[in-house]
Amino acid sequence: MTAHLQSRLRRPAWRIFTRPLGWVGCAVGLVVILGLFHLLGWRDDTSFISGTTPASNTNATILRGMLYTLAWFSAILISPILILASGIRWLLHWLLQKLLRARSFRQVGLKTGHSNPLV
Amino acid sequence: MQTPAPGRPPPPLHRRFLISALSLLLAAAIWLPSVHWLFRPALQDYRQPRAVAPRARELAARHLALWEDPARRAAEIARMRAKNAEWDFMGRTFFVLALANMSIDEPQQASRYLAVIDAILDETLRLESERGIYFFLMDYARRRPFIDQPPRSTFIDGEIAMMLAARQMVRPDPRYVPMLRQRVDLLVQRLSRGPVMCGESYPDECWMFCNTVAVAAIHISDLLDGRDHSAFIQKWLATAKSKLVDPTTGLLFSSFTYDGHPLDGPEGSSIWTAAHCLKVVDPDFAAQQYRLARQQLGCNLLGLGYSREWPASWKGPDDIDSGPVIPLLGLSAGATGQAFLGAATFEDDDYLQQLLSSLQFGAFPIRDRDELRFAAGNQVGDAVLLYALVQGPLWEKCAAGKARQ
Repeated sequence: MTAHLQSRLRRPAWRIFTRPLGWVGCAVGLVVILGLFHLLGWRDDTSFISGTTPASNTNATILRGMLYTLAWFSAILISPILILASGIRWLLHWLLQKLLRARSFRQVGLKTGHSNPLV
Repeated sequence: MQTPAPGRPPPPLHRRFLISALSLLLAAAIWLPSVHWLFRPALQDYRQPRAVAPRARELAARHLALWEDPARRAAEIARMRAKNAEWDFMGRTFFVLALANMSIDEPQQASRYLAVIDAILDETLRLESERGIYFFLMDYARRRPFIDQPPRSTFIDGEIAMMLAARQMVRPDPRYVPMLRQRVDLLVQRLSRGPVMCGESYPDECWMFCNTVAVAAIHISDLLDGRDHSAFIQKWLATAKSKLVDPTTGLLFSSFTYDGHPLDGPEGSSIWTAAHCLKVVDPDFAAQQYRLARQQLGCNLLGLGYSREWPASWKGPDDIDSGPVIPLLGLSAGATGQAFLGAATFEDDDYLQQLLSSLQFGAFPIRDRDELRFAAGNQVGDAVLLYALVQGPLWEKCAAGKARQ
Protein backbone atom coordinates (compact mmCIF):
# COMPACT_ATOMS: atom_id res chain seq x y z
CA MET A 1 0.00 0.00 0.00
CA THR A 2 1.44 3.36 -0.97
CA ALA A 3 2.07 6.11 1.56
CA HIS A 4 -0.45 8.24 -0.31
CA LEU A 5 -3.22 5.70 0.16
CA GLN A 6 -2.23 5.16 3.78
CA SER A 7 -2.59 8.88 4.44
CA ARG A 8 -5.97 8.95 2.71
CA LEU A 9 -7.19 6.05 4.82
CA ARG A 10 -6.22 7.90 7.99
CA ARG A 11 -8.60 10.74 7.15
CA PRO A 12 -11.79 10.79 9.26
CA ALA A 13 -14.11 10.30 6.27
CA TRP A 14 -12.44 7.01 5.49
CA ARG A 15 -12.07 5.95 9.09
CA ILE A 16 -15.82 5.58 9.45
CA PHE A 17 -15.61 2.63 7.05
CA THR A 18 -13.22 0.78 9.30
CA ARG A 19 -15.09 1.33 12.56
CA PRO A 20 -18.04 -0.90 13.38
CA LEU A 21 -19.46 1.59 15.84
CA GLY A 22 -19.41 4.17 13.06
CA TRP A 23 -21.42 1.78 10.92
CA VAL A 24 -24.00 1.20 13.60
CA GLY A 25 -24.23 4.97 14.09
CA CYS A 26 -24.78 5.46 10.35
CA ALA A 27 -27.44 2.73 10.30
CA VAL A 28 -29.33 4.29 13.18
CA GLY A 29 -28.97 7.73 11.59
CA LEU A 30 -30.52 6.53 8.34
CA VAL A 31 -33.49 5.03 10.17
CA VAL A 32 -33.96 8.20 12.21
CA ILE A 33 -33.94 10.31 9.03
CA LEU A 34 -36.58 8.04 7.47
CA GLY A 35 -38.68 8.28 10.63
CA LEU A 36 -38.43 12.05 10.55
CA PHE A 37 -39.48 12.26 6.88
CA HIS A 38 -42.31 9.84 7.61
CA LEU A 39 -43.59 11.98 10.47
CA LEU A 40 -43.46 15.00 8.18
CA GLY A 41 -45.83 13.16 5.83
CA TRP A 42 -43.45 13.02 2.89
CA ARG A 43 -44.44 9.42 2.02
CA ASP A 44 -47.44 10.89 0.18
CA ASP A 45 -45.11 12.85 -2.08
CA THR A 46 -43.62 9.68 -3.59
CA SER A 47 -46.41 9.96 -6.16
CA PHE A 48 -43.77 11.75 -8.24
CA ILE A 49 -42.70 8.22 -9.25
CA SER A 50 -45.89 7.84 -11.32
CA GLY A 51 -45.76 11.45 -12.46
CA THR A 52 -48.87 12.38 -10.49
CA THR A 53 -48.10 15.44 -8.43
CA PRO A 54 -50.32 18.29 -7.31
CA ALA A 55 -50.58 21.17 -9.78
CA SER A 56 -49.21 23.67 -7.25
CA ASN A 57 -45.84 23.54 -5.55
CA THR A 58 -44.71 20.71 -7.82
CA ASN A 59 -40.96 21.13 -7.41
CA ALA A 60 -41.11 21.08 -3.61
CA THR A 61 -43.34 17.98 -3.75
CA ILE A 62 -40.96 16.18 -6.08
CA LEU A 63 -37.97 17.07 -3.91
CA ARG A 64 -39.71 15.80 -0.77
CA GLY A 65 -40.74 12.63 -2.59
CA MET A 66 -37.21 12.02 -3.82
CA LEU A 67 -35.74 12.56 -0.37
CA TYR A 68 -38.28 10.18 1.16
CA THR A 69 -37.56 7.54 -1.50
CA LEU A 70 -33.82 7.87 -0.92
CA ALA A 71 -34.27 7.65 2.86
CA TRP A 72 -36.57 4.61 2.50
CA PHE A 73 -34.21 2.59 0.36
CA SER A 74 -31.23 3.63 2.48
CA ALA A 75 -32.97 2.52 5.66
CA ILE A 76 -34.21 -0.73 4.13
CA LEU A 77 -31.15 -1.72 2.14
CA ILE A 78 -28.12 0.00 3.67
CA SER A 79 -28.85 0.13 7.41
CA PRO A 80 -29.23 -3.64 7.89
CA ILE A 81 -26.07 -4.23 5.84
CA LEU A 82 -24.13 -1.85 8.09
CA ILE A 83 -25.40 -3.51 11.25
CA LEU A 84 -24.71 -7.01 9.93
CA ALA A 85 -21.29 -5.92 8.69
CA SER A 86 -20.32 -4.55 12.09
CA GLY A 87 -21.04 -7.96 13.61
CA ILE A 88 -19.18 -9.78 10.84
CA ARG A 89 -16.24 -7.43 11.22
CA TRP A 90 -16.07 -8.08 14.92
CA LEU A 91 -16.09 -11.82 14.24
CA LEU A 92 -13.44 -11.59 11.52
CA HIS A 93 -11.22 -9.43 13.69
CA TRP A 94 -11.55 -11.86 16.57
CA LEU A 95 -10.73 -14.82 14.34
CA LEU A 96 -7.75 -13.02 12.87
CA GLN A 97 -6.40 -12.15 16.29
CA LYS A 98 -6.71 -15.78 17.34
CA LEU A 99 -4.94 -16.87 14.17
CA LEU A 100 -2.12 -14.38 14.58
CA ARG A 101 -1.67 -15.26 18.24
CA ALA A 102 -1.52 -18.96 17.42
CA ARG A 103 1.02 -18.28 14.67
CA SER A 104 3.24 -16.16 16.92
CA PHE A 105 3.10 -18.88 19.61
CA ARG A 106 4.13 -21.46 17.04
CA GLN A 107 7.01 -19.32 15.79
CA VAL A 108 8.34 -18.76 19.35
CA GLY A 109 7.93 -22.48 20.04
CA LEU A 110 9.95 -23.42 16.97
CA LYS A 111 12.80 -21.13 18.09
CA THR A 112 12.96 -22.51 21.65
CA GLY A 113 12.24 -26.12 20.74
CA HIS A 114 9.08 -26.20 22.87
CA SER A 115 5.65 -26.65 21.45
CA ASN A 116 4.33 -24.26 24.10
CA PRO A 117 6.35 -21.01 24.22
CA LEU A 118 5.18 -20.36 27.78
CA VAL A 119 6.95 -23.42 29.08
CA MET B 1 -12.92 -4.52 20.03
CA GLN B 2 -11.18 -1.66 18.23
CA THR B 3 -8.79 -1.11 21.11
CA PRO B 4 -5.66 -3.19 20.63
CA ALA B 5 -4.45 -5.42 23.43
CA PRO B 6 -2.07 -3.64 25.85
CA GLY B 7 1.40 -3.64 24.47
CA ARG B 8 0.19 -4.95 21.12
CA PRO B 9 0.34 -2.53 18.14
CA PRO B 10 -2.97 -1.82 16.36
CA PRO B 11 -3.55 -3.87 13.18
CA PRO B 12 -2.14 -2.20 10.11
CA LEU B 13 -4.53 0.15 8.41
CA HIS B 14 -4.66 -1.79 5.17
CA ARG B 15 -5.66 -4.94 7.05
CA ARG B 16 -8.44 -3.08 8.86
CA PHE B 17 -9.65 -1.72 5.57
CA LEU B 18 -9.64 -5.13 3.92
CA ILE B 19 -11.53 -6.70 6.85
CA SER B 20 -14.06 -3.88 6.68
CA ALA B 21 -14.59 -4.28 2.95
CA LEU B 22 -14.93 -8.05 3.32
CA SER B 23 -17.44 -7.59 6.16
CA LEU B 24 -19.54 -5.20 4.09
CA LEU B 25 -19.49 -7.56 1.12
CA LEU B 26 -20.50 -10.53 3.25
CA ALA B 27 -23.27 -8.53 4.94
CA ALA B 28 -24.62 -7.41 1.55
CA ALA B 29 -24.47 -10.99 0.27
CA ILE B 30 -26.55 -12.08 3.26
CA TRP B 31 -29.01 -9.18 3.39
CA LEU B 32 -29.88 -8.38 -0.21
CA PRO B 33 -31.20 -11.85 -1.13
CA SER B 34 -33.20 -11.86 2.13
CA VAL B 35 -34.87 -8.43 1.81
CA HIS B 36 -37.89 -9.77 -0.06
CA TRP B 37 -38.89 -11.88 2.95
CA LEU B 38 -39.56 -8.64 4.86
CA PHE B 39 -42.04 -7.53 2.20
CA ARG B 40 -43.53 -10.85 1.12
CA PRO B 41 -47.24 -10.70 1.94
CA ALA B 42 -49.50 -13.71 2.36
CA LEU B 43 -51.10 -14.22 -1.04
CA GLN B 44 -54.55 -14.82 0.48
CA ASP B 45 -54.45 -11.31 1.98
CA TYR B 46 -54.54 -9.96 -1.57
CA ARG B 47 -56.28 -12.55 -3.68
CA GLN B 48 -58.72 -15.32 -2.85
CA PRO B 49 -60.67 -17.58 -5.16
CA ARG B 50 -64.38 -16.70 -5.21
CA ALA B 51 -63.98 -14.01 -2.55
CA VAL B 52 -62.71 -10.46 -2.12
CA ALA B 53 -59.45 -10.64 -0.14
CA PRO B 54 -58.92 -8.18 2.75
CA ARG B 55 -56.37 -5.94 1.01
CA ALA B 56 -58.43 -5.93 -2.19
CA ARG B 57 -61.41 -4.82 -0.11
CA GLU B 58 -59.36 -1.96 1.34
CA LEU B 59 -58.30 -0.88 -2.14
CA ALA B 60 -61.93 -1.02 -3.26
CA ALA B 61 -63.03 0.98 -0.20
CA ARG B 62 -60.80 3.83 -1.23
CA HIS B 63 -62.13 3.84 -4.80
CA LEU B 64 -65.73 3.60 -3.65
CA ALA B 65 -65.11 6.55 -1.32
CA LEU B 66 -63.67 8.52 -4.26
CA TRP B 67 -66.75 7.85 -6.40
CA GLU B 68 -69.13 8.54 -3.53
CA ASP B 69 -67.40 11.82 -2.58
CA PRO B 70 -67.32 14.25 -5.54
CA ALA B 71 -64.75 16.57 -3.94
CA ARG B 72 -62.22 13.79 -3.35
CA ARG B 73 -62.84 12.42 -6.82
CA ALA B 74 -62.32 15.80 -8.47
CA ALA B 75 -58.99 16.28 -6.69
CA GLU B 76 -57.74 12.82 -7.64
CA ILE B 77 -58.85 13.11 -11.26
CA ALA B 78 -57.30 16.58 -11.60
CA ARG B 79 -53.96 15.17 -10.42
CA MET B 80 -54.05 12.48 -13.10
CA ARG B 81 -55.42 14.62 -15.91
CA ALA B 82 -52.61 17.12 -15.37
CA LYS B 83 -50.27 14.39 -16.64
CA ASN B 84 -52.43 12.21 -18.85
CA ALA B 85 -56.15 12.42 -19.67
CA GLU B 86 -56.10 8.72 -20.62
CA TRP B 87 -55.50 7.76 -16.99
CA ASP B 88 -58.78 9.36 -15.97
CA PHE B 89 -60.58 7.21 -18.54
CA MET B 90 -58.69 3.98 -17.86
CA GLY B 91 -59.13 4.41 -14.13
CA ARG B 92 -62.89 4.34 -14.76
CA THR B 93 -62.69 1.21 -16.95
CA PHE B 94 -60.57 -0.82 -14.58
CA PHE B 95 -62.65 0.17 -11.58
CA VAL B 96 -65.90 -0.73 -13.36
CA LEU B 97 -64.43 -4.11 -14.31
CA ALA B 98 -63.30 -4.66 -10.73
CA LEU B 99 -66.75 -3.80 -9.39
CA ALA B 100 -68.41 -6.10 -11.92
CA ASN B 101 -66.29 -8.99 -10.63
CA MET B 102 -66.97 -8.05 -7.02
CA SER B 103 -70.71 -7.87 -7.73
CA ILE B 104 -70.66 -11.46 -8.98
CA ASP B 105 -68.61 -12.60 -5.97
CA GLU B 106 -70.70 -10.68 -3.43
CA PRO B 107 -74.33 -10.58 -4.64
CA GLN B 108 -75.43 -9.00 -1.34
CA GLN B 109 -73.27 -5.94 -2.16
CA ALA B 110 -74.15 -5.87 -5.87
CA SER B 111 -76.68 -3.03 -5.58
CA ARG B 112 -74.10 -0.71 -4.04
CA TYR B 113 -71.47 -1.67 -6.59
CA LEU B 114 -73.87 -1.35 -9.52
CA ALA B 115 -74.91 2.12 -8.36
CA VAL B 116 -71.27 3.21 -8.57
CA ILE B 117 -70.79 1.46 -11.95
CA ASP B 118 -73.83 3.31 -13.28
CA ALA B 119 -72.59 6.62 -11.91
CA ILE B 120 -69.23 6.10 -13.64
CA LEU B 121 -70.86 5.02 -16.90
CA ASP B 122 -73.32 7.89 -16.95
CA GLU B 123 -70.67 10.50 -16.22
CA THR B 124 -68.25 9.01 -18.77
CA LEU B 125 -70.90 8.91 -21.49
CA ARG B 126 -71.96 12.48 -20.65
CA LEU B 127 -68.36 13.74 -20.83
CA GLU B 128 -67.79 11.94 -24.12
CA SER B 129 -70.99 13.37 -25.54
CA GLU B 130 -70.38 16.94 -24.32
CA ARG B 131 -66.60 17.24 -24.73
CA GLY B 132 -65.97 14.79 -27.59
CA ILE B 133 -63.46 11.98 -27.91
CA TYR B 134 -60.49 14.28 -27.40
CA PHE B 135 -61.43 14.85 -23.76
CA PHE B 136 -60.02 11.44 -22.83
CA LEU B 137 -57.11 11.45 -25.29
CA MET B 138 -53.67 12.97 -25.05
CA ASP B 139 -53.11 16.25 -26.86
CA TYR B 140 -51.21 14.75 -29.76
CA ALA B 141 -54.48 13.22 -31.00
CA ARG B 142 -55.31 16.65 -32.47
CA ARG B 143 -52.08 17.03 -34.43
CA ARG B 144 -53.29 15.18 -37.52
CA PRO B 145 -56.54 13.68 -38.76
CA PHE B 146 -57.67 10.11 -38.16
CA ILE B 147 -57.39 8.04 -41.36
CA ASP B 148 -60.74 6.35 -40.79
CA GLN B 149 -63.36 9.10 -40.84
CA PRO B 150 -65.36 10.36 -39.03
CA PRO B 151 -62.82 10.50 -36.21
CA ARG B 152 -63.35 7.97 -33.45
CA SER B 153 -60.92 6.25 -31.11
CA THR B 154 -61.00 2.48 -30.58
CA PHE B 155 -59.47 3.24 -27.17
CA ILE B 156 -62.62 5.12 -26.15
CA ASP B 157 -65.20 2.99 -27.97
CA GLY B 158 -63.61 -0.31 -26.90
CA GLU B 159 -63.41 0.55 -23.21
CA ILE B 160 -66.90 2.07 -23.11
CA ALA B 161 -68.25 -1.07 -24.80
CA MET B 162 -66.35 -3.19 -22.26
CA MET B 163 -67.74 -1.20 -19.31
CA LEU B 164 -71.28 -1.52 -20.68
CA ALA B 165 -70.86 -5.24 -21.40
CA ALA B 166 -69.43 -5.95 -17.94
CA ARG B 167 -72.26 -4.02 -16.29
CA GLN B 168 -74.86 -5.95 -18.28
CA MET B 169 -73.25 -9.29 -17.47
CA VAL B 170 -73.81 -8.60 -13.78
CA ARG B 171 -77.43 -7.53 -14.02
CA PRO B 172 -78.90 -6.35 -17.33
CA ASP B 173 -80.41 -2.86 -17.35
CA PRO B 174 -82.68 -2.09 -20.36
CA ARG B 175 -81.31 1.47 -20.39
CA TYR B 176 -77.87 0.25 -21.49
CA VAL B 177 -79.02 -2.33 -24.08
CA PRO B 178 -79.17 0.04 -27.09
CA MET B 179 -76.00 1.84 -25.99
CA LEU B 180 -74.01 -1.39 -25.95
CA ARG B 181 -75.50 -2.59 -29.21
CA GLN B 182 -74.73 0.69 -30.95
CA ARG B 183 -71.16 0.79 -29.62
CA VAL B 184 -70.51 -2.81 -30.69
CA ASP B 185 -71.91 -2.18 -34.19
CA LEU B 186 -69.61 0.79 -34.50
CA LEU B 187 -66.58 -1.23 -33.41
CA VAL B 188 -67.33 -4.12 -35.74
CA GLN B 189 -67.86 -1.73 -38.63
CA ARG B 190 -64.65 0.19 -38.06
CA LEU B 191 -62.42 -2.77 -37.22
CA SER B 192 -63.74 -4.70 -40.25
CA ARG B 193 -62.72 -1.99 -42.67
CA GLY B 194 -59.20 -1.60 -41.26
CA PRO B 195 -56.44 -3.18 -43.41
CA VAL B 196 -55.39 -5.37 -40.42
CA MET B 197 -58.85 -5.41 -38.82
CA CYS B 198 -57.83 -2.92 -36.17
CA GLY B 199 -59.14 0.54 -35.36
CA GLU B 200 -57.11 3.65 -34.63
CA SER B 201 -56.79 4.79 -31.04
CA TYR B 202 -54.90 7.88 -32.19
CA PRO B 203 -54.49 9.14 -35.77
CA ASP B 204 -52.75 6.39 -37.78
CA GLU B 205 -51.89 4.66 -34.51
CA CYS B 206 -53.54 1.38 -33.56
CA TRP B 207 -52.92 -0.21 -30.16
CA MET B 208 -53.19 -3.93 -29.50
CA PHE B 209 -54.34 -3.15 -25.94
CA CYS B 210 -57.36 -1.19 -27.22
CA ASN B 211 -58.24 -3.63 -29.99
CA THR B 212 -58.17 -6.69 -27.71
CA VAL B 213 -60.43 -4.84 -25.25
CA ALA B 214 -62.79 -4.07 -28.16
CA VAL B 215 -62.85 -7.67 -29.42
CA ALA B 216 -63.49 -9.02 -25.91
CA ALA B 217 -66.34 -6.50 -25.49
CA ILE B 218 -67.88 -7.64 -28.81
CA HIS B 219 -67.73 -11.26 -27.63
CA ILE B 220 -69.38 -10.46 -24.28
CA SER B 221 -72.05 -8.43 -26.03
CA ASP B 222 -72.86 -11.48 -28.18
CA LEU B 223 -73.37 -13.53 -25.02
CA LEU B 224 -75.81 -10.89 -23.79
CA ASP B 225 -77.93 -10.18 -26.84
CA GLY B 226 -77.57 -13.48 -28.69
CA ARG B 227 -76.08 -11.97 -31.83
CA ASP B 228 -73.19 -13.81 -33.46
CA HIS B 229 -69.95 -12.06 -34.35
CA SER B 230 -67.90 -15.24 -34.12
CA ALA B 231 -66.90 -15.11 -37.80
CA PHE B 232 -65.67 -11.54 -37.30
CA ILE B 233 -63.74 -12.54 -34.17
CA GLN B 234 -62.16 -15.57 -35.86
CA LYS B 235 -61.09 -13.37 -38.77
CA TRP B 236 -59.68 -10.80 -36.33
CA LEU B 237 -57.70 -13.49 -34.52
CA ALA B 238 -56.36 -14.95 -37.78
CA THR B 239 -55.25 -11.50 -38.93
CA ALA B 240 -53.57 -10.71 -35.61
CA LYS B 241 -51.74 -14.04 -35.58
CA SER B 242 -50.54 -13.68 -39.16
CA LYS B 243 -49.78 -9.97 -39.39
CA LEU B 244 -49.37 -8.49 -35.92
CA VAL B 245 -46.96 -10.86 -34.19
CA ASP B 246 -43.30 -9.97 -33.78
CA PRO B 247 -41.43 -12.86 -35.47
CA THR B 248 -38.50 -12.69 -33.03
CA THR B 249 -40.43 -12.96 -29.79
CA GLY B 250 -43.74 -14.42 -30.92
CA LEU B 251 -45.48 -11.65 -28.98
CA LEU B 252 -48.14 -9.34 -30.36
CA PHE B 253 -46.95 -5.89 -31.38
CA SER B 254 -48.15 -3.18 -29.03
CA SER B 255 -48.76 -0.45 -31.61
CA PHE B 256 -48.81 -0.20 -35.38
CA THR B 257 -50.03 2.05 -38.14
CA TYR B 258 -53.53 1.73 -39.57
CA ASP B 259 -52.14 -0.45 -42.39
CA GLY B 260 -50.29 -2.72 -39.92
CA HIS B 261 -46.72 -1.40 -39.99
CA PRO B 262 -45.25 -1.90 -36.48
CA LEU B 263 -44.55 1.28 -34.49
CA ASP B 264 -43.55 -0.29 -31.19
CA GLY B 265 -42.58 -3.89 -30.62
CA PRO B 266 -44.05 -6.03 -27.89
CA GLU B 267 -44.47 -3.90 -24.77
CA GLY B 268 -44.96 -4.92 -21.16
CA SER B 269 -47.43 -2.08 -20.64
CA SER B 270 -49.64 -3.59 -23.36
CA ILE B 271 -49.18 -7.35 -23.67
CA TRP B 272 -50.31 -8.40 -20.18
CA THR B 273 -53.73 -6.78 -20.58
CA ALA B 274 -53.96 -7.94 -24.20
CA ALA B 275 -53.44 -11.54 -23.04
CA HIS B 276 -56.05 -11.01 -20.31
CA CYS B 277 -58.64 -9.84 -22.86
CA LEU B 278 -57.76 -12.56 -25.36
CA LYS B 279 -58.50 -15.18 -22.72
CA VAL B 280 -62.20 -14.56 -23.16
CA VAL B 281 -62.10 -15.07 -26.95
CA ASP B 282 -59.23 -17.52 -27.55
CA PRO B 283 -57.90 -19.05 -24.31
CA ASP B 284 -55.13 -21.05 -26.00
CA PHE B 285 -53.71 -18.09 -27.89
CA ALA B 286 -54.00 -15.97 -24.72
CA ALA B 287 -52.13 -18.58 -22.65
CA GLN B 288 -49.41 -18.77 -25.31
CA GLN B 289 -49.02 -14.97 -25.28
CA TYR B 290 -48.86 -14.96 -21.47
CA ARG B 291 -46.26 -17.72 -21.44
CA LEU B 292 -44.08 -15.86 -23.94
CA ALA B 293 -44.49 -12.58 -22.08
CA ARG B 294 -43.60 -14.27 -18.81
CA GLN B 295 -40.43 -15.72 -20.38
CA GLN B 296 -39.30 -12.52 -22.03
CA LEU B 297 -40.65 -9.74 -19.84
CA GLY B 298 -41.35 -11.24 -16.42
CA CYS B 299 -38.35 -10.86 -14.11
CA ASN B 300 -37.38 -11.69 -10.57
CA LEU B 301 -34.56 -9.83 -8.86
CA LEU B 302 -33.69 -11.25 -5.44
CA GLY B 303 -37.27 -12.41 -4.91
CA LEU B 304 -38.82 -9.13 -6.08
CA GLY B 305 -40.87 -9.49 -9.25
CA TYR B 306 -41.18 -6.92 -11.98
CA SER B 307 -41.85 -6.61 -15.68
CA ARG B 308 -39.59 -5.27 -18.36
CA GLU B 309 -41.14 -2.87 -20.86
CA TRP B 310 -39.26 -4.35 -23.79
CA PRO B 311 -37.95 -7.84 -24.50
CA ALA B 312 -34.18 -8.14 -24.86
CA SER B 313 -34.51 -8.22 -28.64
CA TRP B 314 -36.28 -4.85 -28.93
CA LYS B 315 -35.04 -1.39 -28.06
CA GLY B 316 -37.78 1.18 -27.61
CA PRO B 317 -38.21 4.59 -26.05
CA ASP B 318 -39.79 5.36 -22.65
CA ASP B 319 -43.30 6.72 -23.05
CA ILE B 320 -46.27 7.77 -20.96
CA ASP B 321 -47.45 4.15 -20.68
CA SER B 322 -44.16 2.66 -19.60
CA GLY B 323 -43.03 5.49 -17.33
CA PRO B 324 -39.28 5.82 -16.87
CA VAL B 325 -37.56 2.52 -17.71
CA ILE B 326 -34.78 1.69 -15.23
CA PRO B 327 -31.56 1.11 -17.18
CA LEU B 328 -29.95 -2.36 -17.11
CA LEU B 329 -33.01 -3.94 -15.47
CA GLY B 330 -35.44 -2.66 -18.12
CA LEU B 331 -37.97 -2.31 -15.29
CA SER B 332 -41.07 -0.29 -16.09
CA ALA B 333 -43.65 0.71 -13.48
CA GLY B 334 -46.39 0.74 -16.13
CA ALA B 335 -45.52 -2.76 -17.36
CA THR B 336 -45.19 -4.08 -13.82
CA GLY B 337 -48.64 -2.74 -12.93
CA GLN B 338 -50.16 -4.54 -15.92
CA ALA B 339 -48.20 -7.71 -15.07
CA PHE B 340 -50.41 -8.12 -11.97
CA LEU B 341 -53.37 -8.59 -14.30
CA GLY B 342 -51.52 -11.16 -16.39
CA ALA B 343 -50.28 -13.14 -13.39
CA ALA B 344 -53.73 -13.15 -11.74
CA THR B 345 -55.55 -14.07 -14.97
CA PHE B 346 -53.30 -17.04 -15.68
CA GLU B 347 -53.10 -18.06 -12.01
CA ASP B 348 -49.33 -17.66 -11.90
CA ASP B 349 -49.19 -17.45 -8.11
CA ASP B 350 -45.39 -17.47 -7.86
CA TYR B 351 -45.05 -14.44 -10.09
CA LEU B 352 -48.01 -12.72 -8.44
CA GLN B 353 -46.40 -13.21 -5.04
CA GLN B 354 -43.12 -11.76 -6.30
CA LEU B 355 -44.96 -8.77 -7.78
CA LEU B 356 -46.80 -8.20 -4.51
CA SER B 357 -43.48 -8.26 -2.65
CA SER B 358 -42.20 -5.54 -4.99
CA LEU B 359 -45.36 -3.56 -4.39
CA GLN B 360 -44.79 -3.61 -0.64
CA PHE B 361 -41.10 -2.85 -1.14
CA GLY B 362 -41.25 0.06 -3.53
CA ALA B 363 -44.78 1.40 -4.00
CA PHE B 364 -45.23 2.88 -0.51
CA PRO B 365 -48.57 1.49 0.70
CA ILE B 366 -50.61 3.84 2.90
CA ARG B 367 -53.43 2.46 5.01
CA ASP B 368 -55.87 4.97 6.38
CA ARG B 369 -58.71 3.47 8.44
CA ASP B 370 -60.16 0.80 6.14
CA GLU B 371 -58.69 2.26 2.93
CA LEU B 372 -55.51 1.23 1.15
CA ARG B 373 -53.63 3.04 -1.58
CA PHE B 374 -50.12 3.08 -2.95
CA ALA B 375 -48.50 6.48 -2.66
CA ALA B 376 -46.05 5.91 -5.52
CA GLY B 377 -48.93 5.25 -7.90
CA ASN B 378 -52.21 6.93 -8.65
CA GLN B 379 -55.87 6.07 -9.01
CA VAL B 380 -55.46 4.24 -12.31
CA GLY B 381 -52.57 2.19 -10.92
CA ASP B 382 -54.61 1.21 -7.88
CA ALA B 383 -57.63 0.43 -10.09
CA VAL B 384 -55.55 -1.93 -12.28
CA LEU B 385 -54.25 -3.62 -9.15
CA LEU B 386 -57.73 -3.95 -7.70
CA TYR B 387 -59.06 -5.41 -10.94
CA ALA B 388 -56.17 -7.89 -11.02
CA LEU B 389 -56.89 -8.97 -7.46
CA VAL B 390 -60.63 -9.54 -7.95
CA GLN B 391 -60.74 -10.59 -11.62
CA GLY B 392 -62.00 -14.04 -12.53
CA PRO B 393 -65.77 -14.24 -11.91
CA LEU B 394 -66.69 -12.14 -14.95
CA TRP B 395 -64.49 -14.13 -17.33
CA GLU B 396 -65.81 -17.38 -15.80
CA LYS B 397 -69.36 -16.21 -16.39
CA CYS B 398 -68.45 -15.43 -20.00
CA ALA B 399 -66.86 -18.86 -20.44
CA ALA B 400 -69.99 -20.48 -19.00
CA GLY B 401 -72.15 -18.40 -21.34
CA LYS B 402 -70.03 -19.42 -24.31
CA ALA B 403 -70.31 -23.10 -23.35
CA ARG B 404 -74.11 -22.81 -23.23
CA GLN B 405 -74.26 -21.36 -26.77
